Amino acid sequence: MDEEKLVAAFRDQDPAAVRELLSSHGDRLLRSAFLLCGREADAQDLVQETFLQALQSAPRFRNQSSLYTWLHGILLNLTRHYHRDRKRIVYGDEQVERAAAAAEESPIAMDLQMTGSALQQALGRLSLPHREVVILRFYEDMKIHEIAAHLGISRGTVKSRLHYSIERLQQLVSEEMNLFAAEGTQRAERT
Amino acid sequence: MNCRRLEHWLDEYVEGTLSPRKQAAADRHLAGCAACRAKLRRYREFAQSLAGEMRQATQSLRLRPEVERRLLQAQRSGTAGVADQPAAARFWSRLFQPRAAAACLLAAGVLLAGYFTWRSGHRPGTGPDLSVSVQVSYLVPKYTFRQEGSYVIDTLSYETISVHGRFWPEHNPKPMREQQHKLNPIK
Repeated sequence: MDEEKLVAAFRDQDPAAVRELLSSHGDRLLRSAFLLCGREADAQDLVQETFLQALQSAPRFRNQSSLYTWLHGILLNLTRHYHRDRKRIVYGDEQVERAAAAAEESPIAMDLQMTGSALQQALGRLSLPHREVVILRFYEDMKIHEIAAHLGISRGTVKSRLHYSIERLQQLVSEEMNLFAAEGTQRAERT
Repeated sequence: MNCRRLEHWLDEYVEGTLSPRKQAAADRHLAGCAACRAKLRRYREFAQSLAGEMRQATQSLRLRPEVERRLLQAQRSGTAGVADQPAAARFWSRLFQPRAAAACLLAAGVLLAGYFTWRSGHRPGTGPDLSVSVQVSYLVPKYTFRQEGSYVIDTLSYETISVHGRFWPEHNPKPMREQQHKLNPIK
């Protein structure tokens, strides 16, 4: 089924379209969700909720973007709520101080599962807005203007977030894993 | 094109979305600038490396089969489509926002004052005072966020806004005053 027919069938709430949508975009969305939230179980829940919300708002889908981009937009919104809910604490100076101290002790507590390479761990330490841009640019392979439209921000903001993230990731990655050290570059330049 | 300009356009150069003129200018600059060539290569290496790492970290992930069952169940039970609120309902829900409601009340007051003035044919200083006073007070919820380390703290408070004005027949209304009272944080 091509995308146009799939969209029409999905709008008509055809069960076959739901199955096809899951098989064509489910795993891809799950991987993106995992990179955004850092926990597989939570990523599974986020993707399930994404499809449920997509089902509910299918009649409002206007073909202004691809189905995947539309689904990914829903996922991004849900991920932001997820991070906000996990970080929210209720008023009171004492709680604020306690939470700030805990955050200093364990800055990557939110991404315990993302314990792969140094680069993956560094990705988990970026703030959500920076991580979103990095994932959309280098994992989803979206272009700057597409990311700007997807996130509803300017191209300049996308670029500044991207440059900050690249610098921050390079700082965070250990020297051993750092492929971008100046020495290595100079050596490569000479050859 | 100089080094600074090239750095600015580096993302677009790599993704191939520069205009042909800018692309040619960037190529000419790169041909003569070893530092920018190194920067470009670092960028490409980084992008490749990061994309590879992210794919490696996620390639084994599969969506659990329960998701399909759950979705089809939701579809059958008719929960899908509930969120598709009609446009008219969305309009009315927007209209009943506190500020919108206060604005409507004020507008209604001004219209009534104008109507009675017109009906009475009152002239200043020739009869009883037919001025109309309108006062509206309302609460506006204020939700604020601030960052504390890696935590986002949110606070809900209510702001009391009081608007009052007095209108005289056949005179321009006096400027309305708006007073904002102190915030009352909810704990």
